[in-house]
Amino acid sequence: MTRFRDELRLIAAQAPEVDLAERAVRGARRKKAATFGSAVASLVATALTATVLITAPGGATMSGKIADVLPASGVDPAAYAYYDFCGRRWDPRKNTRTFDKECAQWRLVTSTGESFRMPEALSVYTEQTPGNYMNTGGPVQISSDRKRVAYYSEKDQRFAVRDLADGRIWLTPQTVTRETMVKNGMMLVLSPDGRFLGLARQTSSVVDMESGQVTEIPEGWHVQRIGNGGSPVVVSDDKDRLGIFDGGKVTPLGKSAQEVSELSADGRTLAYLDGKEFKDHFMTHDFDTIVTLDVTTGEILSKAKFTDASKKLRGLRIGGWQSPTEVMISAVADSGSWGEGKEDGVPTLGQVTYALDVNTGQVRKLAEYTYKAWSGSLSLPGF
Amino acid sequence: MDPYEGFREFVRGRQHALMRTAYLLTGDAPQAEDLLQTVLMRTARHWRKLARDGNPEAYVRRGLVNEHISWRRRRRATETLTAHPPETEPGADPRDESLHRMALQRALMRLTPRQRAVLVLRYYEDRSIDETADLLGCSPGTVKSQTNHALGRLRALAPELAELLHDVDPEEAHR
Repeated sequence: MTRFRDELRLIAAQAPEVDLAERAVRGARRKKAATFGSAVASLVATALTATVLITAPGGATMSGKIADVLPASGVDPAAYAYYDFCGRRWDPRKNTRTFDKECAQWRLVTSTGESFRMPEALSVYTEQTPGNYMNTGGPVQISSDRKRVAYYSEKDQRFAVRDLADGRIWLTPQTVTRETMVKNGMMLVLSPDGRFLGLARQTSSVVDMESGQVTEIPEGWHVQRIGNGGSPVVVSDDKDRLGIFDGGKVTPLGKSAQEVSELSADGRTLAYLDGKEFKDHFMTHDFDTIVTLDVTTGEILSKAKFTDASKKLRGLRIGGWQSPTEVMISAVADSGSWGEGKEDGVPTLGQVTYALDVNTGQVRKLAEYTYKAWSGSLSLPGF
Repeated sequence: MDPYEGFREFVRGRQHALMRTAYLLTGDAPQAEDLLQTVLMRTARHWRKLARDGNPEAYVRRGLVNEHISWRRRRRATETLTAHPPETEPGADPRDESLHRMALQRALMRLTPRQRAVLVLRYYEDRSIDETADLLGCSPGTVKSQTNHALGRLRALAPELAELLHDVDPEEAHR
């Protein structure tokens, strides 16, 4: 009789430690506000039953609205972050400087539906030039456990990772000027638990944010994904050839991929999208296959062609694992084109997430993240 | 006067134990956190009354079980989210005891929410049949039959757990 009880206790002991006191009080206050007629608060209460906030096209996310500043602590796990150029038209040749406004800052939306702006995170580059118009603003990355967020802190000239619940902020030892950010940009990669931050541009490194220890990635390789605990690190070169960085050296995996998932919980399995082909820099064939790979042996574990439903999705990206057999992918929202969703003159932009079964290639829709704007940027946890 | 006076202390003192129950009920850390937070928010709203003449912990525990059962029902209907069994480790040593635990976790996730709640209350929280019936709002007879069904289903779902379950007595009046 005792073994069954013991096993239940051992399972229960796997529960992570949490600090919910402030969050519960804040939630209770919001609910109280709702009873006095706040429509916004009642929306929050509805959203509380879902881990992920789902917004219908043209729905809850408002463009150009100035939100509260992110509180010092007690923030619920993140659902997504975005900026939308204040909902205004943006022309990098003419009006970039006019976005030096609070409404152009990164906004973080929590899983309970609250929206906060992040003044400390550099967003739109107001000194944008036509020459580098693709690099529109500072990056924000959300860990796939939704508890930490990485960004460029202009006042510190460093990258920062912030724990949303307890408010702790860690800064990278490396400094990068705003000028360099505008000129070259920077790719950020977070481990699923948000402790390790990867920086990738001309050179690449992995920073243990809690200890400040920096590990340089060998020249020619860029960090793509970081396992919990800081290893393994999945890297790729300029030709998208994948490798594993461990113990100071890179071991090539013999495969190439542009869209690489997070590592599975045991750190062994990696999924990637395959099938995209180019000719003379034009795409002639889009992703049509999901492949999984054992990173310890380089062996292909599974390969599945997309079903017809999966093939219709556009602009695919790959994120973390939804279950032991499903990875999350995101596609451009159907309404996210210039020709649709413009009833009030402003397009609806956004992404839709799906769980993609690595054995069958079938997709299952998870959530839509949309906002009304002429242009902008959206960041989803684990992508 | 602060309407939440004493609430934070209550949460800080009890949240780890409550989180463990929530984790067993949901089988998933983020969902356990959402579940507990939802129930704690409701507790905070009624805190004055609960602190004065109620039993806050019993209120939270009852809320966890009932909210969990109704959540699962709603989520199954919309299929926007599904609880998934914990990651297995292909290639792990088969002699590893944790394999048994993973098999148990997977099997628990395939029970109905009510069956899982019965097992958690009876064999993790060590509650009597009467206490479990009170928390679930059903008769002691229903608790006994649900326990029987749940254990039978575990045995069917994971035959490798036979040894673990062979001496579990569903009628056992613990405490």
